[in-house]
Amino acid sequence: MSEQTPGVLGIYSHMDTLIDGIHHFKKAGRKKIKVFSPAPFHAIEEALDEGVSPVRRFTLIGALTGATFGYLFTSFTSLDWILPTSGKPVVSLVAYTVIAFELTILFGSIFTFFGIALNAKLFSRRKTLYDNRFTEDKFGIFIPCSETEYDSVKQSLTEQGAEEVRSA
Amino acid sequence: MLREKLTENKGKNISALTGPVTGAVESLWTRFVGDMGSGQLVRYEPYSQAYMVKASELAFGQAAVPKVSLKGADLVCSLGAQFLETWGDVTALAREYAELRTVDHGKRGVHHQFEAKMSMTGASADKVHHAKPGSETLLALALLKEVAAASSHLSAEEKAMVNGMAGVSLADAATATGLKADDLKGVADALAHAKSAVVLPAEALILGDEVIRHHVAVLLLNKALGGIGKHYNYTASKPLERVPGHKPVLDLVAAMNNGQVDVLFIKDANPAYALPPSVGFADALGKVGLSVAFASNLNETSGIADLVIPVHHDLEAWGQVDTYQGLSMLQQPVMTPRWEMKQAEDQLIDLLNDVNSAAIEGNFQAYLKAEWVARHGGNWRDDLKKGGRFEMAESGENLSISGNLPAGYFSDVAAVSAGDHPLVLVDSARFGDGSTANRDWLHELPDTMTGVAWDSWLEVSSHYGHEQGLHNGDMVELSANGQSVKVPVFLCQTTSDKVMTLATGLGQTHLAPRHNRGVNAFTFLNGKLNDAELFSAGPMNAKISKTGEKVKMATFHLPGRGDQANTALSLYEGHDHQYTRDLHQTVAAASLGHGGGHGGGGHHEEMDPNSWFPIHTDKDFYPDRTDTKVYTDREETFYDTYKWELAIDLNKCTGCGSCVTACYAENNIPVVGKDQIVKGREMAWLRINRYLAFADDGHGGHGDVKVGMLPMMCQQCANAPCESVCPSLATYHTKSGLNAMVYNRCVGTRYCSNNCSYKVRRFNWFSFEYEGDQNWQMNPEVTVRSKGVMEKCTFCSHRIRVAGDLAKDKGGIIQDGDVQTACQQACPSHAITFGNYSDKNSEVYKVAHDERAYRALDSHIHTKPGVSYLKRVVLEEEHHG
Amino acid sequence: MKELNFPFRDINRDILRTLEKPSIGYLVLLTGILAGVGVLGFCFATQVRYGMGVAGLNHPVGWGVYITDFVFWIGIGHAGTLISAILFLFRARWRNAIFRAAESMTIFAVMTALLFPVIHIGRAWLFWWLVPYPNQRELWVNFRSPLLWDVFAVSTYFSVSSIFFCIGLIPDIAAIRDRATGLRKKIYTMLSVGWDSSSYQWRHYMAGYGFFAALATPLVLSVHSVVSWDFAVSIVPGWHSTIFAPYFVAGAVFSGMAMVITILIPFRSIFKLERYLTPWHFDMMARLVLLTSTIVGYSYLTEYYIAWYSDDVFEKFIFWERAFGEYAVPFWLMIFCNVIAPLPLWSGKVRNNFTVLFIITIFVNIGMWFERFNIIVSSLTQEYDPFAWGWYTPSWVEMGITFGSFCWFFMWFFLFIKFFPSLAITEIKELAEPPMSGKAQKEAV
Repeated sequence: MSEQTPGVLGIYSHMDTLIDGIHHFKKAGRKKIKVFSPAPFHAIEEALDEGVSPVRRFTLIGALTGATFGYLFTSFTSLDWILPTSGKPVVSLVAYTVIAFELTILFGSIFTFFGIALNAKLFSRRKTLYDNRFTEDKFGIFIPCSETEYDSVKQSLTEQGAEEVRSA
Repeated sequence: MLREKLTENKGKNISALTGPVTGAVESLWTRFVGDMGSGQLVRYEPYSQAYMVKASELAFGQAAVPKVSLKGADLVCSLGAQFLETWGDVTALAREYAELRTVDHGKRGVHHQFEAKMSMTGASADKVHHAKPGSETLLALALLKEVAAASSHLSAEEKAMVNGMAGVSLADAATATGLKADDLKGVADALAHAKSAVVLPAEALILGDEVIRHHVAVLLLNKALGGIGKHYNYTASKPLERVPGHKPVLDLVAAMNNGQVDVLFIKDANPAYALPPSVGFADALGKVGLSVAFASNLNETSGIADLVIPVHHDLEAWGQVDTYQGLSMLQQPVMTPRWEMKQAEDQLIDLLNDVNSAAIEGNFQAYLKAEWVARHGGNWRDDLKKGGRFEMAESGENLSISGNLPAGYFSDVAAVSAGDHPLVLVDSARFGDGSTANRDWLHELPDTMTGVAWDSWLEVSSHYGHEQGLHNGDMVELSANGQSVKVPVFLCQTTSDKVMTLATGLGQTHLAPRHNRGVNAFTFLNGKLNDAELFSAGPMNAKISKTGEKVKMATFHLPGRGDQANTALSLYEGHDHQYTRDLHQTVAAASLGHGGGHGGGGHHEEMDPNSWFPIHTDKDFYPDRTDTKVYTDREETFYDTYKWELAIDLNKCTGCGSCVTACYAENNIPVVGKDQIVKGREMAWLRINRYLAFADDGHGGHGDVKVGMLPMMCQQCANAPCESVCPSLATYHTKSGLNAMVYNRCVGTRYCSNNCSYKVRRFNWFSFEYEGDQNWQMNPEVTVRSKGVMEKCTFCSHRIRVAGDLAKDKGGIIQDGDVQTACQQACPSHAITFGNYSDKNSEVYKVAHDERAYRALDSHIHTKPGVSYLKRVVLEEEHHG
Repeated sequence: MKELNFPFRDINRDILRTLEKPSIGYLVLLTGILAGVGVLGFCFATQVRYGMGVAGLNHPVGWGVYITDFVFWIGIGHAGTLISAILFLFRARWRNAIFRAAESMTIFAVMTALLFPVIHIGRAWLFWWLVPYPNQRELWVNFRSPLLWDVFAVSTYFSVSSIFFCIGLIPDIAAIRDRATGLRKKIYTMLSVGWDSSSYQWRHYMAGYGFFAALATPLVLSVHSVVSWDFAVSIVPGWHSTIFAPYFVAGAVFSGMAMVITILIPFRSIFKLERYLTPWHFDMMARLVLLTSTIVGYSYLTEYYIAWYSDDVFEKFIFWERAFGEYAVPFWLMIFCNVIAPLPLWSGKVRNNFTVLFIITIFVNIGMWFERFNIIVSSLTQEYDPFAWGWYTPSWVEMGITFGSFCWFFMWFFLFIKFFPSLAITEIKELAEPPMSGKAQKEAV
């Protein structure tokens, strides 16, 4: 657990108090607060109001890449060594559409996966405080702050309904 | 050891038993037995034409077998001779028959066949008359009476002579044969009015004791038709000496039984197999002091000899065959011998030189050459290159009827009665006298009329079979003539109720295990020689009893289903009769020759509007390939030098199957055996589709059946359905119009074969192993395929390539006629034409634009096949199929 | 949904209970299944050693049981993707409890189906030639061939489904991780790829998940269409028909749903998940089965009507023969299983009766297997040239491989349920009411 981001973690049992807490800290000007929940909840997302995820750009670029690659790859390889079949045109775009379609989806999906992995920083070590019960039934708010602020932030969290507080 | 024995026995009876050897071969054998002692040379062949010798002597005073030819004939009437498969010089007759069928101004030659079981020959006939077996002589006599009365080719005395002898009326003949008198009158009239008619006799095997009289009647009939000299040529005839009968071998058996034969040499004769069992050849052989067989493989006779000396196969040996006067053929080795052995005649020379001081200089090749040069003079090398001397007279004398015929010669001719369903033996084109039963290719080639491979069968009509509750493959006990065998039954829709037939040539016991199969029909031969001093059998009273066992019969098709041209194949009784789906088409002769026929060949041919199917509109979904560039940076377009095409004239094709076997030979096609054929896995790249079309008899049942033979091979379609579905690009279209099959790229998904509408693609379900020396049989120019790979007809592309290389060396392109496909080369009727369609002067281009030309299934699925078929010409106006 | 409104802790506990040590029954069954996979291996080895001739295939029937199995298994896979992706886009709430099991079935069905392109080709060891890879000879593959489209479609389907599946699994694996110890903790930590259930991650996760669903929807419709075009693009009468794409997709959903129901009914009892897999879920699934059954039945009628209307001899003939010819028994079996047997599902009582539902869905799968068998085999036996007709009977090798393929499928499923949660923990929590204190100042929306 090296390179821990300094901050304070507050653990909540109830979502409504959590939402209140989120609003409080956002109003207090705290940026980059991290909210833990066992499942994604629309209310939390609304309260955090962080904007649209950039993953969709990855999807779009992937899909377009797939389609283009599909048509180009099939066409150029057909022209590379001309082996005509069944009287059909050598560059059979109708037939190649199937390939291009599948590759659109494949590339779109792969790029989306990378989009998620990069944006959500998967495959990397955890850098913030965490509690095992977040995947069970507890919620949490993590507020990054400097060491000097720990006590005041802990105080705030408890006031906002956190059952436990912990600092890095 | 042999030399000791011979020296011991020198001067005693040292005899030889061979096939029908002639020329220098015969002279060497004769000299051998003569010099060795008191023995004889006995020549024996199961199917001998000795009857023709006797009959000719009686009729014309000529003890010889005439050369029979159909050249120039416009009517051939066969009283049973299967002249396209087993009777006479079948290859020559087939070629002449094909010419007879050629249409000229709406007319062509006519063929009537009289036989109880429709043979392959009968299948080509314009009418098959199902005459009861045993009535052939009466029939001949009735026709003779009619024709002689109106004949302009007989002198007055001859007419009187004939009138005195032939006293059978058409009505009598009709009763005896079971045919209609009107039909017989029609045939007699046709004979009388034909420009040049030929009558062929019935098969000698079934004539029994009537054989001589029947042939005399037929010879007289041909005389009355003016055919003697033209179609029956006694100048180019086989003299008596070249046609051994069966009496010599019977005498030999008697001598053997008496212990008179001390040493017997055997070569190319299998009497233990082909003689009737009552003769007891095998036992007699045991009583010979020493029996020695010269053989390249074992059979029933060489297998029981005391000593077997391996000798060269015919392909590795020297020999000579003299048949007709003026025809003398030389046989030379066509390969370096596989093993260090000698041929039989060389062994004889060595033995003679060792045992007998009278030496022969040199080996048999020298002996042969010396005899040849002494007889023929001329240049030995030239004759050897040509293959012999071919100096037969084109025609013979118009001989008069001799005075040898006694007055009441035909007076007691009667129909042979043998019950309602007599058993009749038939000569088989594939196996005949049994000497070819050791050849896989012939077992694999299905019988033309039934489609059965790898088996014997008792052929009964389907009607009779259903009556008796029999099914294909039911094993029955067949008893006739005091003998009994177990044989599977096969229900045939072209055989009449009047007969049950069994083909000769199978039933061996001493060959390789897979070749020892079937039933030996020679078991049923009469034990006595007939009038012609031959063993034969007439129609026999036969009993069949079910044994309850059943075997699967191997056929390339579904019998009774896959060959139906117009019967309902399922509950779906459409009123169309096009179950051949236009694959085999016919056209009436009268509509040809004056622009009346439809067609015009080519790729986008219009269909006959009488057809049930819609006319294909000439719209091309895909661009015409001819102007497409083959490679983007080269100027070549498709078909610019060659477009290889095949054209098959269905009018000439008899369905003999020579092309099928030639293809097996040329392309190293594996023989899969009976079990795999039962499963449907035969590997034939080229097959003969046989379709049966039944005329409505007006009572809701079946009348006459018409047979259509369609050779089907890869059509090398320009819009091949198989090419676009191969995922690994193992098949594609070449710029010379062939559908290329790349064996080493094929992964074996079999989609191509599924999509092929003609079903001509063959998959290697196993790797077929070739044991021992079998790989010597392979054609080195064609690869051998392993399991998992698809294969099909390639139009002999290896031959095209070789011709292309040779043409390139000469600085030109392949000319018309430079390349022959194997099937084209083997076809006796010259029904197949192959060549470059892009060359407007080529034969195939002309044939493809014949008014009879069409392309199979093209109007339905627009595959643009590269094979044109010429519609078979029939005499009546009728629908397709 | 009120029905799934359980405390989060209970959800974790109930669902993760399936990961406990296996019972004797489980081990016995698994052993049997592994033996079945051994049968598969043995039969395939026999075929590679001796050649395709050990199967019952011949000329003209080049495709038989193997391709039937291939299409069957791809079809089974469609239900999972439909539930995961399409029902996600429709926001159908009954998908949450079942989609994990269904999706896993998709993955394993596709893995089973992928065996068959290798098994059915004549030179199985060269299957990789169907993949276009650059080589010195500049030799590529034939992109016009439907089999090549299959290569792309099925591998795309497998890849996309796997990625989608794995992404969905991550939060649940984290749940296991957080309760595991020792070696298990290390492995699940690795597998959970750094998931910490934070908003930072959920935000991107949910966005991506939606896109996956959006991509997988046309994918699932296209995959079985492409597989059906193996037949429709050919010129074989009985195959060459434009109805095949929607017909097969409907049939796929039909058989897939039926398989999901067949598996989940015993599953819920054995693992005591009755609270989560409620009769309501099965009712909804059964409605889908009924819907697709009617589409499939309608397709049969359409095919026959069009064959008659077309007046094309080949077409009319083959459809007549299919119903009344040599293969009439499989045909009517198919009609019974696919059209008649699902009719009771119109009744709500039947849809909620687990026994009857189980039986009906088994019939459906039998019927769907025979539907593919019918289409493939009966069309090939009697094509254009009557002289080339021939019948087909599967051999022991083919039946052994079919049996083995079922065992292979179940092997993966059995292993899966022991190592991963077979219900989606997080998604069920999404449906349940989150714990509220009631003391909040602002309404938690």
